[in-house]
Amino acid sequence: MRLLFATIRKEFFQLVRNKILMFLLLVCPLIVLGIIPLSFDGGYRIRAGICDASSDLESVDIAKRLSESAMFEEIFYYENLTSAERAMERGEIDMILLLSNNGHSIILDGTFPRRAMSSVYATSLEAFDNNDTQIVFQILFNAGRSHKHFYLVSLIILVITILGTALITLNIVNERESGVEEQFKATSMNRSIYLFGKFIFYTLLCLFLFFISYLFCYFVYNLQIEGSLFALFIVSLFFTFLLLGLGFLIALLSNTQLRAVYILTINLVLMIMLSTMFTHLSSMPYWAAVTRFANPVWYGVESARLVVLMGATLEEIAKNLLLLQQI
Amino acid sequence: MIRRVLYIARKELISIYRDKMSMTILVVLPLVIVGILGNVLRFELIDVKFALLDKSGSNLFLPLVSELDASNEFSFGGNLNSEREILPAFINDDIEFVVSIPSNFNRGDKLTVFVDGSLLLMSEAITQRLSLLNSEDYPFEISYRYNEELKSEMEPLPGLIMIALVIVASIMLSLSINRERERGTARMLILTPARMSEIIAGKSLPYLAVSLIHGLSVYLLSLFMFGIEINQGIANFFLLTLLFSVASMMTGLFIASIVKNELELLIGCWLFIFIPNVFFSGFIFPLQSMESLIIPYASLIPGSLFIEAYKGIVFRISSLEINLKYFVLLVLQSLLFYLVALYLFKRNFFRK
Repeated sequence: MRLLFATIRKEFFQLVRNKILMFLLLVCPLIVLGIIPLSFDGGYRIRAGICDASSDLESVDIAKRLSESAMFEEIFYYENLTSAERAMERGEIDMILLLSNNGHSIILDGTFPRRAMSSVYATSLEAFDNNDTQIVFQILFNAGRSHKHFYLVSLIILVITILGTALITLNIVNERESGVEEQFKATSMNRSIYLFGKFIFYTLLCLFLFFISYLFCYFVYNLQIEGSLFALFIVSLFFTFLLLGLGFLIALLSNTQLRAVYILTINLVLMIMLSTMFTHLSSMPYWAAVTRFANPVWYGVESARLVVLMGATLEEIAKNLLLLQQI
Repeated sequence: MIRRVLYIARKELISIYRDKMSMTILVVLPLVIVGILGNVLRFELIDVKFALLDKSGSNLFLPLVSELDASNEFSFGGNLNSEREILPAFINDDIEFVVSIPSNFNRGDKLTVFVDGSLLLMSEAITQRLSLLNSEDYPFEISYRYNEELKSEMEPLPGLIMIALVIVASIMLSLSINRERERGTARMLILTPARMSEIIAGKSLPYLAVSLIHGLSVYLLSLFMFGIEINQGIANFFLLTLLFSVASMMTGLFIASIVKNELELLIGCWLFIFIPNVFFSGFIFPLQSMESLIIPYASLIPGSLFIEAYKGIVFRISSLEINLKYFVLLVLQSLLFYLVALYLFKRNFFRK
């Protein structure tokens, strides 16, 4: 027991006395959480070019409605189609609205299909008042449909994934490479106690990082946690175990830090992109959707969303994530 | 001077080459990332499950349900019996939206659709798709330029290539320089006549070759896997890959000149190169839909310059003059970061 505390104390001092690392661990996540959410605004802000070849008043009316709409940011007017096309080639406008006496047409920039679909939707809604559908949409969970809250949860998980795996992996491999691990063999220190001490220390560190991140988001972005705090704690603890386990695995496989960094990089990119952080499961092919059961980041993102945004209880989370209901 | 640069380049090349496993990972990394993720990251709806809560008991909506079920986007996931089952259906089952019909439904009444706001991208896509359901006939014709069939695999490709290149390029050069310092071999370099700028230049040369290999492999992959041909712009494409890799390397070098060991370098590269390039480059979120405060800065980071230039060169096949500004901005940024890193390295490289 004394040995275990000694290991934890060693890790603690090693961390606290390294000023740059302390800065990277405690301040940089907050900088990231402070700046990156500026990209989550989520407005449409379509830049449209209007090419008016008709003579009646209806086209003037449509152009006026577009320029008043909140979904359109800038409206440019062009004399003829070629000049509008040239502007699109330069990437200055997303769509061209061609108004003429015998039918209107829109030409879209297809290099960003998601945005092209939004442009069609916005044009039919705003310019042509085509909103006679019989559907009322009611949004459950995350009711304001705030982009910020949705991606903040992902961003917290992303930052902790990076910090947690990088810390544990490179700490172990660094000590192996510089020979410190060899020296421990000459002491009364047991190898399993040594690794267990590291494990406990980094678990506490990750939980502390979770704590300051959620606290920061609560005060700055007013991120309310729908579920219970206990559920959030358990979910974060579980996620931290998965991360540190992955870090141990990579550390076992690599002899030098160089190799550890490369293996870690390829793993992190794949895991982050294959989790549902940026996309949803339904649009993945089957083989990719199945990999989520071996993906710690997926568990982290999904469970955090379930607790923070949907207010699920632990039982529901366990059913959702562990019983493999979604195959 | 050139001789000294070449000597250092040769030393670096040998040390890369002799660590066979690291070299293999280094070379195939972008290939694996783009190859796997290019098939996965699609931002479209495929077989989204929905449930029906029909309290009217009429069969008015069977045609609608079967029509939705038959489409590629949606599939029918079952009936619900009461409103109490809606919330559990979202949490426990795989249901993404619920169509609810009130008990005394008349023609002309409004339907209610419950969507899940915590799956934001999906709920937005569902809203757009369903609102347009009844009004299939737009009052206008639609045509698409540069991607006539609106192939969805073209959407993530520029961003994925950017991510693969930026993370590998920024880590590899700065790691090799920082490693000398951490392991103490920088003290041996102090005995050589080489100056700091020559050390950096010599170390960059092998990694420039590696990034050209990356450009070639990514080009071949996108040609054979996704069928994207680059006919006229092939020289521009390689120039872009090269300049972008250099810009990423110099950003990585700048981070390396501030931090001390490999752990800090790794964290710095991920937090300050990977994360901003994913979020601010227009890869996940379109540039125009960010807060207007950040748009001018976001459009200047290397990632968004690469994505814009890639779209221009590969998809729109536009001429060099249109894309020249992206190239110039990339070169200017590389130069800026190089000078700052050089200044900092001169002060702290040989100190342990």
